[in-house]
Amino acid sequence: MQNTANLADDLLASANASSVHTQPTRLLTELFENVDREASLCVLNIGPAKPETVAFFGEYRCKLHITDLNQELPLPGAADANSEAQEAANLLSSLSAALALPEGVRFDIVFFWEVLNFLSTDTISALAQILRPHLHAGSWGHCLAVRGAQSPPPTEYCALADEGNLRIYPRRIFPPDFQPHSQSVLISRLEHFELVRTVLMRDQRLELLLKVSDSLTGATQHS
Amino acid sequence: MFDRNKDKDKHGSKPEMSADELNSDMHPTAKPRTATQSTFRNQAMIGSTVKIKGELSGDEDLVIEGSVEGHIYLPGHELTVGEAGNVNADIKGKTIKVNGQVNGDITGAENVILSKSGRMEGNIITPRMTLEDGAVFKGSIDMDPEATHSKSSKVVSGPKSVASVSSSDAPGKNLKSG
Repeated sequence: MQNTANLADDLLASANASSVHTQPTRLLTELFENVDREASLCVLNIGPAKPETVAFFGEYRCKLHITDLNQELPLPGAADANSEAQEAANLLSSLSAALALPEGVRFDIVFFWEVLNFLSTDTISALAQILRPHLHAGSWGHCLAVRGAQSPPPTEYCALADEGNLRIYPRRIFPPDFQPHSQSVLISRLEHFELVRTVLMRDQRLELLLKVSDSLTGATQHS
Repeated sequence: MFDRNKDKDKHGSKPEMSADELNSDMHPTAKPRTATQSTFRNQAMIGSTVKIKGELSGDEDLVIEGSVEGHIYLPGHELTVGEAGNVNADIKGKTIKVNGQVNGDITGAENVILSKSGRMEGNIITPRMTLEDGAVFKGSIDMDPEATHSKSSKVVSGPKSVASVSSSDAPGKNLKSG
């Protein structure tokens, strides 16, 4: 685990030097080619609420749930646990409260953005567990990962600009614990999701397109 | 889903005004207005020291700079929560602009604007949503542009309710593949 607090000052300087810009993404294009604009869409955005994202989904018949998990870190409760089971229960409880997912809703697309880079593997597993009843076979996932375990914390964060572009913002707030995970670790912890495609971005980060397996137990199957 | 009342006591123990009291005197310094009296714009204001608890309704635009807890119902009118405004209430109106703090659900028949100074936790139902950079939002936005289109084609149709987006609606119909 790498404590980003010690790196924050240096990174902040470089982050502030960069400006908001747009970057093309082939994976989002691929994702939205599979989305019917006329059908209702249910989207979970686990990241900051940004104007262009809201405006983009305003063109759809869309229910957009936004919760910025970055703002909720570190999650409370785990330190008070007396046992591993208690710690796991506390983690699930605090993560559920932070996400505040609406009951009974199943998401067609989940945007994780960079937040998985700031969660422990146990927390990612807990996130997958919480998401499970909110997914269906064929739900899509999108996240950003680092290229290797030695990669520095990202100095930028992304939001959805449109179906072919990401909006890149300089990161001014760094969640407390940067925990770079390999692509294989992420996929193994994001239970139910399968990797569709990975693209190496210009800043050496990885952009991952995921899809919920058709074998998701109890999930509604796509026609 | 959200703890809407968590901040309700943070403004101290100043005496609160009931909704009925407020409706009879939204402008403490102004003379009572009749329906026939014309102003350049019918707009009431709740000042920054005013606290209201209860149901608030009206037939004019409203600006809230104070604190309101309960329900706000302004059909066909515009509600603005000012930068100093703190609302723990469900809100229904035509146009709702949030410059301050709102904890609660908002239904905007035409549009909802969360400005750069706005902070909101709750659910929004509106055909047109504008979120400015810097705004802080946590919750769901239920947008249905068809509601706006049907209005322009003279078929009045309210925004789709949250309840209508059921779990069984979402899967299977939304995506072409899978």
